[in-house]
Amino acid sequence: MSARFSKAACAWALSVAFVLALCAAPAAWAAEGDGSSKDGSVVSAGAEASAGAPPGSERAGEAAQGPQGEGEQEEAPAPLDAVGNEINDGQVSDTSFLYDAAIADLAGADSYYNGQMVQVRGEAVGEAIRMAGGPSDLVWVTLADVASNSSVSVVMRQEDAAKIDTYGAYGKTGSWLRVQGVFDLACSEHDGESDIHATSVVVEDQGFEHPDEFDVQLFFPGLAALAVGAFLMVMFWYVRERSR
Amino acid sequence: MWQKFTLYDFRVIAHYLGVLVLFLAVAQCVPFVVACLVGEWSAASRYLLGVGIALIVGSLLRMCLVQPGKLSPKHALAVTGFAWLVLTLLGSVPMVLSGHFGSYLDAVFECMSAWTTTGASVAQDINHMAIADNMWRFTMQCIGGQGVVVIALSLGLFGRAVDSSLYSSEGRSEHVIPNIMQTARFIVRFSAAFIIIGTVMLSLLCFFIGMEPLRAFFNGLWLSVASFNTGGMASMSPGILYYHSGLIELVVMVLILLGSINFTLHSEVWKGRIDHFFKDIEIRTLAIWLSIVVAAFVAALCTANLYDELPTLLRRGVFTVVAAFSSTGFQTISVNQMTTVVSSGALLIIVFCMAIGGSAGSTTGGIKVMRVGILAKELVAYIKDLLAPASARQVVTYYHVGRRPLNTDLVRANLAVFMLYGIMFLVTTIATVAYGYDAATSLFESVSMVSNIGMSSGIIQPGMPDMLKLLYIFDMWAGRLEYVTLIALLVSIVASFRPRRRSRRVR
Repeated sequence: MSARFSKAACAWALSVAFVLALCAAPAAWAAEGDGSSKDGSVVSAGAEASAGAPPGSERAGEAAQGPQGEGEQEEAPAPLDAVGNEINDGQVSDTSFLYDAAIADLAGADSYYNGQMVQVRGEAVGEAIRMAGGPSDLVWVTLADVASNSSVSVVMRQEDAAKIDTYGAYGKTGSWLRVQGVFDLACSEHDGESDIHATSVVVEDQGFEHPDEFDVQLFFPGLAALAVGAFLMVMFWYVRERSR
Repeated sequence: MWQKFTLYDFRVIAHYLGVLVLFLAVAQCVPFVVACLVGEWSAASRYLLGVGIALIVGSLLRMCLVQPGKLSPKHALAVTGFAWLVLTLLGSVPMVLSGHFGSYLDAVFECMSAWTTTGASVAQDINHMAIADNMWRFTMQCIGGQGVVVIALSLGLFGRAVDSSLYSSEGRSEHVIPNIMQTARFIVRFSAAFIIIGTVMLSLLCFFIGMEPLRAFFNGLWLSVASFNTGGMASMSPGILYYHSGLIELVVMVLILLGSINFTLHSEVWKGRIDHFFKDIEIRTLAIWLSIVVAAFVAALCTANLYDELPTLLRRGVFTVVAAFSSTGFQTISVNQMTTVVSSGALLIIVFCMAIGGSAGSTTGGIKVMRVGILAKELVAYIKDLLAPASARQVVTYYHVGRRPLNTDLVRANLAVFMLYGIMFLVTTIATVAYGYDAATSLFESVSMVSNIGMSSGIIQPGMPDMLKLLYIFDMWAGRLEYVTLIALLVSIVASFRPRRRSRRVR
């Protein structure tokens, strides 16, 4: 009885293991990507579930890490020789991706960052500048970090730039972007400029306008100073005329 | 025997400083009007306050002496020397209230940099700066580039109470036209013409690269002002690199070259005397000097493997050299590239280039090529004297709007300025190094400040030590006046307050 039970249990266990192995192979294959699209395609803010999250907030952080966290929970460890896995015996330690490199780090970067894949967050400021002499579908966008008073130029496709609804300027807070791309300390394609060639652009937070509102009280100190100054000028003129 | 100031002298100086402060009030109307037009009400209120304060201070200073006499050379020296400081201190008030500066000292640094056309900036979050604030920064550069006194003279603010001493005290020794007021007006009109042409061209280029019409106009205007007056400030944090346009760089470079050539030579060319231009000692020295520097700098860039193509190499190399010698300070090689990719030798070449500077009687800073040319001639003459027989007498001349003798007084004056610059380079570098910065970057930054260049290797930042900021403010102020004016002024003031020695009674 016990022998028959153990045989049946083993058969069930083997069949379950086989099914799991079959499911794990495509899961492992799918998990090879990091969630971002390749070849410059835009990952929309909605798809990343990060719309409306203020930059740097926990929500934004969770939204950015969300898909990976879920993947970690659902993924079962796959055997190395599972279907779809390719083992590269010559693989060395890989530093081709640097998460969340600060703009200030890139602005003061040494050659270590040169040619590396980086991910930066920053506010789009100014405007999209047309690329002179290059492909017509590429533009320059300046990403700025107010806290560190630094900026970096990003080369991106026009459809990526179209996602930016507001560029930072006086009275405007620009769209907050998350850009992945290759950083070049002296880009050979773009006349030796330091830039990032964006492969993925995500709008994490839309920009908004906050124009000055006319408030007469703001002008009171100036008007008072102006009145005193004008009075003193008249006084000087009067004294000078009297002394003649 | 030092010249001393009496109380009456101080009252005369205060009166004329008051005139210049009232001029500041008028100048601040420019950003005020712009702020009202573009609806920047917060900025408008700040500039209204600035105008009011300038009116109060200006009127009070004028009341120190109601009926002033004619300005003597001694007074002119003091008025010019103090004018830059007083205008900076008062011009900083609306800036510090903008929220873009960490302290009043930062705002003073920014204003001194703008007035003296140095172009270094410690502003924070410059990309969000109001149009009015930028307009004020570039207005200061425009007035400062021409010279505060030159602008005031051209507007007739000093009336008939002046002679050429006031004009000369601002580092300008040559009269384009015999009358100084007409000379000042020529300089202002001539500059205005080029700035307007530059504005039109640069605005169109800015529009074509994708800017909105209003932003294109303002960016074109600011670039034009900063280029012709060799100021070098920019309205966006990446500087001139923000535009990513070779054509804009080309127009900017032409404007810089026009602004960095002696206005007297411009006048001669205008009159059709082109031979004066090509025979001039300044132009010849400049041509030789720049050829050497460009060749050396491009060679140094080659070794750094920074650029793959020759046109790019030349574009970056030539622009950097032009921006450095002219004291403009625009950088198409980023600060980061300067300190990480480019060799320290290339940095040193730019240091030499910045130290020598541009043409005298223009908007440039530094020692000036005229002085270098004259000293080189004197050196050759000295060697000839050593080799010649004792009975031989040689007459050395140089060509500058006609042939002129090279006399001892001229050589002494040039040598004095040369030495003063050298001493200040040394002192500022030692002070910067003492704060823990690298030697090469310290030397680069020091020469940049003393020569009113504005290029940076990364030391000039809002968070730099306050004492260093104060030293750099002094450097910019003194460098704009070519040191002699300021040292003479400071010595006179110290001598005025020094108690007289009691004479010994002879028993």
